[in-house]
Amino acid sequence: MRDELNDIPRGAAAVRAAGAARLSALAEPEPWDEDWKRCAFQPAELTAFRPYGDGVRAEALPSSPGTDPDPSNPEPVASGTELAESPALRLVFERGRLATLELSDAARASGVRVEGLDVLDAAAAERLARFAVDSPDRADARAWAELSHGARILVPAGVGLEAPIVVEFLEGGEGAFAAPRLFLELGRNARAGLRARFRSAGAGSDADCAVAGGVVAELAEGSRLDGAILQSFSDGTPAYLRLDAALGANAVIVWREFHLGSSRVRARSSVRLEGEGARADLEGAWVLAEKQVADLGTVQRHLAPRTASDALYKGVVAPGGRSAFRGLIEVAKAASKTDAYLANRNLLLGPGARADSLPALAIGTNDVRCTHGSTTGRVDPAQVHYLETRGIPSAEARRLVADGFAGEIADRVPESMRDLVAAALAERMARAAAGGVHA
Amino acid sequence: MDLVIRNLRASVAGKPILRGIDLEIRAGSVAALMGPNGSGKSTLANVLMGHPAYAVESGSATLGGVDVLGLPPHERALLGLFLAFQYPVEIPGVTVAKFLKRAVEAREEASARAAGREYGGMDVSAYLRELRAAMDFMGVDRSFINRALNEGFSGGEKKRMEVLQMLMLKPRLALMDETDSGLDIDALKVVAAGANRLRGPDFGALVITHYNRILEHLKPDVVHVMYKGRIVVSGGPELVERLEGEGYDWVREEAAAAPAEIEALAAEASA
Amino acid sequence: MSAPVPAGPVAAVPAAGKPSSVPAAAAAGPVAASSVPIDAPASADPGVGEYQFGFSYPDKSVFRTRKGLDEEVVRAISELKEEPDWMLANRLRALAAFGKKPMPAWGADLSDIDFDEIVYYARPQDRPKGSWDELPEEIRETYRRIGVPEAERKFLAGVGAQYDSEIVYHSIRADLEKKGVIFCSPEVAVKEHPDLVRKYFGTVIPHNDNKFAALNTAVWSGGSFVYVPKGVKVDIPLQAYFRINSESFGQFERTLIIADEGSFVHYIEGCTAPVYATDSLHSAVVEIIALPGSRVRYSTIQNWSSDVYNLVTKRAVAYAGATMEWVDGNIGSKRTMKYPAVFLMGEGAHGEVLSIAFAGKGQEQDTGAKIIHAASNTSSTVTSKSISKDGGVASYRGMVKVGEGLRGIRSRVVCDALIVDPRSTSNTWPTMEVLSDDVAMEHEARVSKIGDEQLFYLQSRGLGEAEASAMIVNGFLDPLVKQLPMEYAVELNRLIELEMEGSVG
Repeated sequence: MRDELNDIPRGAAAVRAAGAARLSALAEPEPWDEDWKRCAFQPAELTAFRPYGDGVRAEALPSSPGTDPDPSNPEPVASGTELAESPALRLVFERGRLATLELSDAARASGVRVEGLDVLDAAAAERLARFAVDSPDRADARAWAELSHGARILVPAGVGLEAPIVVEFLEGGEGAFAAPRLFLELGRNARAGLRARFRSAGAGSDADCAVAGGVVAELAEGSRLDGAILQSFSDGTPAYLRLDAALGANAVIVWREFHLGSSRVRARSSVRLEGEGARADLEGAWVLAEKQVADLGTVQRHLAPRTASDALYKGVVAPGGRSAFRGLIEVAKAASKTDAYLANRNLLLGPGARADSLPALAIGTNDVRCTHGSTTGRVDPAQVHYLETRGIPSAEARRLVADGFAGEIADRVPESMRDLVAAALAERMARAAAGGVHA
Repeated sequence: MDLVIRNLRASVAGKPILRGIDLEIRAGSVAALMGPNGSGKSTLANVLMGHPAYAVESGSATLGGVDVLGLPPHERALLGLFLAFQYPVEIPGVTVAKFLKRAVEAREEASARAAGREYGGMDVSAYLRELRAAMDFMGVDRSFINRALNEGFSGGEKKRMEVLQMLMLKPRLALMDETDSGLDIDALKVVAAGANRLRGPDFGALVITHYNRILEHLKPDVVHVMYKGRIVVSGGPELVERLEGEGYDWVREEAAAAPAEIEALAAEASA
Repeated sequence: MSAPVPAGPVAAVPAAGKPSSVPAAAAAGPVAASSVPIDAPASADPGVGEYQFGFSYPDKSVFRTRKGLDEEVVRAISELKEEPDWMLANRLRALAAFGKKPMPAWGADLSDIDFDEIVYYARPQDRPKGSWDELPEEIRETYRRIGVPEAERKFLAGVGAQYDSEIVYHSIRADLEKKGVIFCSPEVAVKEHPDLVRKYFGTVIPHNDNKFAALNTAVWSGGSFVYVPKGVKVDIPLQAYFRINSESFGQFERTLIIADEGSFVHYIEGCTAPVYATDSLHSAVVEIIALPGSRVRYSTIQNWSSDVYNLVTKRAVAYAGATMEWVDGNIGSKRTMKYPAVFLMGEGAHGEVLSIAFAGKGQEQDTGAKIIHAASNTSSTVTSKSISKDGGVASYRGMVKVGEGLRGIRSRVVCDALIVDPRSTSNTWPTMEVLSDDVAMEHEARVSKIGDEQLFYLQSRGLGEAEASAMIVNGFLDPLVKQLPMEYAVELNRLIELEMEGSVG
């Protein structure tokens, strides 16, 4: 109340204000802008989409844990149960409204908190606003400025959640602009798993909106986050998903992302290793059928000594599809004994497929081991031949090798989510490889 | 030159490995150093040579009366200390010829300086003659002269190359760290012959090994057994046979039965 | 320190040569004779480990344009060279493009360049000479100290020597000349082989390709023209030496090499300059046409002094079955931006770039390679090795592009960077654009320091830390250095040893 009287924005308002300021400070990218020229949409295109509207913002999310969702909301279409049977927390948003909020007794007892972004206290809002202030581009800045829904999830120091946190974002509504953001905070030595799903609500053109948002993760000293996200928006939904993570000393993040939806995807996973001994393992996979374009990237920013990171991003591109992967390993002067690796592997299924790869190193000190590798090509004829000698027909052998290529990362997803990812992968592969796989 | 080690304690990354080594290797003698894995044998060799990863906590090690522990590695080498590495590192682009010529030259220059002589420079043709002869003796193909140091060498080739360098540099005291490991019988004979060739009143050696085989060829004057960072048993060549026959269990027992004072020291070192 | 060059137009007092070639309006025009000699700079006596070629001689150029660049200056250069109209038109078109093109928004920091403070043309003598003895004493002495006449006697098929804007010396072995090999300055080529020049000049690097290529096209002077007839193999290298002597000067040589079908030629260029307090600019354009079945190797050891901006555009087209190899060593200069390119235009063509960069104190080496696969069954390899030291910045910037609808493409890029101390920086900025699926494209990059275990090994054999480090660094570069002509390889090894001496401890 006092804040309102003093006209100081609080909660998400402060974050939105920071995003708006950032947005006005950034220029629209020129056509030759390296960061945007391989993307299927430009930041300006998102302005054609309208925000969800005031009534459905995140303030609908109750601030106290365990409270039932707004009874005026319609019956949820998604329960998130495919992601985990009995999660520590289940959170489902549909078109910007909270549909489900279930906090397990165990999680509640250990002090896990869930808050709507509009009721953030000043300190939490300030921390989140820092990410809006550092937003790297206009599309993301706009998502901050028009932050539509999401939640802050706090896992207190010392708490190790056995069961995962499950979050589903269902976005839809023709011409709508969805800007969801999850703010995950892990206290010292906390441990948590996150399984998030971004997909379309509704069908046909009703499913087609524009999405920009993602996950912000702050990992305090010694904490560990095992995250996996599955993006499977409708073809007509331009989607820009980010991970922005900041890690304290000895914190660990494991991040697996699957982009198996949308014909116009942009994704960036950016990890700041701020504390000594922090470690990030990033993995990603995507499959592009005809007329699908993906622009993906990673930033491994080493800011403290003895930090480690390892990234593996694999893409499958069918004829008529186009992918770009951009990776950066950056090592600050202070980050001696950095050990960093980045690999990008692109598999082209046939003529007319395009894959660009831009793996970069910017290394500011000498006592480091930094390596990257990138390969692009067809399925390995030696592997195909091996399968053929075991009696598998050539076309099938090529398909098997292609399936295995992307499946490698899916196999490392926690068990209860694996089937979901595998099914999405199989569906997208079936589409991409409909014209056969060339070797 | 005598190598005299007194109460040497050393650690790596804060973890104590050498817990008070006392050892003397007299000029002209060959000592074998045996002991179970992890007892600190390689650490001793690396500490004596000055590997930067090891921190000397206390004690001394002198070669011909000069305390080597305060010297950078290359000055130890120029004094006449040599380490035949257990795992020789590959150095891309640096040829055997180029590297060894500089190493021999540096050694000759240091010897001249030590003797108060003016160093007149290297006799390159004499060096090449000697190198070829040493390569032939060690069974190293002459084409290796122009290969990058240890790069792509097999395990056996690396070990022969270590002993070849030893022949060329003529150390006063050689530390041979498991030079026999992974060698077939022919290679083993050649490696032993290389060391025997240097034997004489001016050459001493500490031969670290797990096996009797090389010692049959090298005939050590004395055998030391190391366990948990200390020399626990010393004796003549007959010790080798006993270890060969009975393994290290009796050494462990003997160490366990050692005076309480030893255990106390060990406990203190690890605290 | 040196006396300042007179600013603005100075009354022309042609010291020698052809007064008729000086524009009538010289008094107010762009050409000034350097009647005021320039003192030798303070750095004529380099210390150990410092730049070896930092000496200079008084500026005795017979003509020089005033500082700055405009149409008058361009016309004056063209007139001095008695060029045909088409070349002047080409220059003026490029001048307009230079004005329009933006400075590169990426790469090395070029904000210090003041285009108005540069002298764009300085002619050291009247005519190129065919014998060293005919050269003015200072110029002869310069090349003697760099070692050119000796190299020519020992192992070169032909030599071109450029001093500031003009080629001052040229020679080619008689037997090669008899076989139809042409090796001359581009000015001579414009006059004597106009058909060849008109056919190829500006076809590989258009006049408006980038700001610095446009600048070169507008004010180019000197360089080399090489034509190797069908089937002729030039068994020993042709070499050009480029020397900047004047202060605040721009050298804009232009090289055009045409290797006719089935021929072979190895061309080497070396670059040095004195050390001044003010910056000079070297902005060359090199165009190479490797016709079917030919092979061209172009080796550079760039050892400009630490006040030279080196912004060079080098590009080759390789037709069916042709091989183009760039060996590009960048040791000197303040900032370098150079990405030798190969356009693979015909089946079976192969492109190769070997890049060596050494970035020491105050230096930024932004180098790399560009390979365009425009035909099926073409292959390319890029190998880059860089060393950063004393706060230097070495960046690899590369592009490999595979066009649409191609088959059988192979490309491999390997970048190895060594950072010698914690203050220095290494960047790797590769781009791969693959528009065909029948490709095998690989890229890998590693950044590391001098290995502790390697250092310890060499120290344990009696080598001091500095020497051991130098040996490891030389070993690191060895696979590429081996590709250099012997005298450059020796020179490079020696240079690294000197550089490493001061760096340890």
